[in-house]
Amino acid sequence: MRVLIPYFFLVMAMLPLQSQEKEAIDSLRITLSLVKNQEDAATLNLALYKRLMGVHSDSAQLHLDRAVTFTKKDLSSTLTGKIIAAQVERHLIANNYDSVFHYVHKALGVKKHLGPKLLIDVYSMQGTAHYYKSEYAKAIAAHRRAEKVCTSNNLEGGMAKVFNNIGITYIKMENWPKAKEFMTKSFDLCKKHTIERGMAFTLGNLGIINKHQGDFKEAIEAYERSNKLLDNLNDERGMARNYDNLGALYEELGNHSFAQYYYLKSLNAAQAIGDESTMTSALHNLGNLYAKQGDFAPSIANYEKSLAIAEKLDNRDVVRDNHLRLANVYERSGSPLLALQHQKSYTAWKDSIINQEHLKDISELEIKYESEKKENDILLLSQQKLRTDAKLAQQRARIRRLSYGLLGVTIILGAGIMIIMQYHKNRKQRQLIETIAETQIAERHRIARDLHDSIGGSLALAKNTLQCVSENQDEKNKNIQDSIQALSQTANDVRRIAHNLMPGELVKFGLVPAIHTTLEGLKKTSLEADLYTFNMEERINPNKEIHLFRIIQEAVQNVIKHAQADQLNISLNKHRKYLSLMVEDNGIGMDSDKTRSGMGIENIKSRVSQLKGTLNIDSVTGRGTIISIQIPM
Amino acid sequence: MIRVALADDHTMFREGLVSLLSQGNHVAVVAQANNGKELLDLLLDTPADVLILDIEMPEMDGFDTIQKIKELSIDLKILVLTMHSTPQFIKNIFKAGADGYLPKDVGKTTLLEAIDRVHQTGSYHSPETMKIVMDNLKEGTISTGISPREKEIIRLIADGYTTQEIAEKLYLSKHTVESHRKNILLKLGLKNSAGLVKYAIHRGLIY
Repeated sequence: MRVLIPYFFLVMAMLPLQSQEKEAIDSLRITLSLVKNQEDAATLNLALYKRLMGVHSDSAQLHLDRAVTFTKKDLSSTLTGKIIAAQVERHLIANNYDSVFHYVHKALGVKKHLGPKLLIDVYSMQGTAHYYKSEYAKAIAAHRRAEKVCTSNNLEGGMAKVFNNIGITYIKMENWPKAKEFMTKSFDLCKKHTIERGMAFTLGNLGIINKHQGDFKEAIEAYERSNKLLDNLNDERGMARNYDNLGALYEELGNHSFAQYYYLKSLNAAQAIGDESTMTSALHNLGNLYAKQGDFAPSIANYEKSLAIAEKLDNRDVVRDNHLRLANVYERSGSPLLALQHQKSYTAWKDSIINQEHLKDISELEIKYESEKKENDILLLSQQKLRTDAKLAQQRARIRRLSYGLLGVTIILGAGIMIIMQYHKNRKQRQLIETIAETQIAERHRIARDLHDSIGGSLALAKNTLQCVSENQDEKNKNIQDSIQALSQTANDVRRIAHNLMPGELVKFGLVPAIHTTLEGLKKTSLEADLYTFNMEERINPNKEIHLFRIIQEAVQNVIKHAQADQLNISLNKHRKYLSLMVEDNGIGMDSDKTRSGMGIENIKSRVSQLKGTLNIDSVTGRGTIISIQIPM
Repeated sequence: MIRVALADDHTMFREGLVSLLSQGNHVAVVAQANNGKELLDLLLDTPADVLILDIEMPEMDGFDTIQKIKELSIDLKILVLTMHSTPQFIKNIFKAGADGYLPKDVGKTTLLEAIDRVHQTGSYHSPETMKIVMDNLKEGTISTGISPREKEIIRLIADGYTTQEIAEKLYLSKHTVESHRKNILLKLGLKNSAGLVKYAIHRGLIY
């Protein structure tokens, strides 16, 4: 059995890592531990998967799985596409072809976000999976789609890969002319863009094609060119395969020694780099070669070695083929028992492979189903979590609202209570002030009366008595006369003081007579004063009388002191609901005499406010002043 | 003999007065009271010809006492002797129905003369008192009429000026003009400015 190992460009991703790469991985890991953003985390996980794929498939897997978990959340479609493409790749490497198709389908769902290169990769991987499943027509269709994308985006590098893949598929289909056509195209493109690795691979594949077309010379030439390139690239793995293929070629040509030489070379090279897959192939081919030559012992030895490695690699085809070959060799070498044993093994493996493949399909379906179910579960869980979060947020918001509301109500209540308390306090204070004022008035009243009547009366009596004494004496005593004079003066002073404290007229007769008395006193001055009253026959509240009287006194004093007026009109009119007081002069006006708006006006203002009235002062320079007051009754 | 009753809440003054009056041979103090109430009680049993009455007294003052005496038709002459000496008081004392007035610092002679006069003629008015009362009557400074300023405003309102225009014209605030306008309406018993115009025309304030 000929063993053909065509090259896939895909394999490029699995090349061994260099130390630089390791550093890159470490730095990626550190960065990953630091990022918080989902998008970044997913990107880093994906990058780690790509870097680790060749070396640490387990941890690569882990990173990809992590990246996948992010796709459940809000990731950009581009990143999601990349992650899905990576899943396709992973399943292709693991030979889970149904999964490959599943994820290809998923990836094509976000086609427009993939970008041309990634889309080409996805189509290529789809084709490769079909190829592995021996569905060649489908494989070519997929590769053709990749080709279309390359053409429309003018990606010649990608085109080279695609042509290589199509060529390989035609190789499998044993359509050699087509295979050669595409492989040559791929080679030309690789050469044009100096993709040496690609050139090496296509040359390797061209070697296979040429061999099958019977162009052994060309085939050998192709292999040698390929090897040269691979040697430059230090790709010993590729070289090992080429040697293996060269061996097969020489075996075909009947040149057994060359075949043996290359098989051994391949084996050595593969052994050196630990490429067991190539080793099994080379060992198996060596076994074949020895069997052909009748050298059963080395043949068996090689087969056994190949079988051991194949078993280790779980490479069932090779295991099965080795068993078949061993059965043949043992039969020919006269060991029918062993031959039978291997024949049995062969049949068992054959069945097993069929079963295994069947079971694999089923298990793959199951896994797919399970994973979808899991995804759904995760989705459901995350939705539930979202719902719970939303509910929690709502509750929190409600609590916040409620507490704000409570706080507001508390503040309002507090403020209300404080306002009420302040109001009460103010009212109490006002009442206190009013009481004090009333007491003061009453006190003034009492003092005034005592001064006026009691002391005034006593003084008058003393004066009278002295006068009697004086009249009874014949000659006038100067001392007595002086005393009478002093008493008279004192009595007048006392009367004046008492009157200032509380005018008797105000108490006895009310506001109008009191004002009248005040104006009476102005007769000695040049000021002519007129009082106009209306509805003032009845007396008003004594407290208001006193305040109004004091206001008028103050206003009149102001006019006398500052206004330089010769006419003063006071008008006092009682309306139904209020009392109107106007004090008008024709003096110089208040504006030209700032001192007038001093204490006097302040006193008036304070009294008006105590009476809860309004005050308005009109004053124009040279045109007098009008004080207009309204007191509610 | 003239029977004299005294009403004054100052005992010292009253006693001084009693001693002063005893110097006159035709005067006898028959009753002494601290206030109007006491006096009225005393007068029920003790008739008197002349009452010397103070104004400022507790419980019942001079004015109330005069009013009560008038009400009860007690036949006696009332001579008010008070510390008050302002025209307003003198006017009101006579208005209340007193027959004579004297300030408390009056001399003995004048007092005795006043008692005699009030007893014989029924009234006593000293020249000073007469002058004060007459002056007060002449100077009619209390008026219930319209002030010159108000007349000015009536004219302007009647001429169709608005409050604002009047205020500007008279260098007053709108508030003051409005106060004047309300006072005018009150005094004339009018409801609005339209009535004011009619009044002005009627009174010949405008033509």
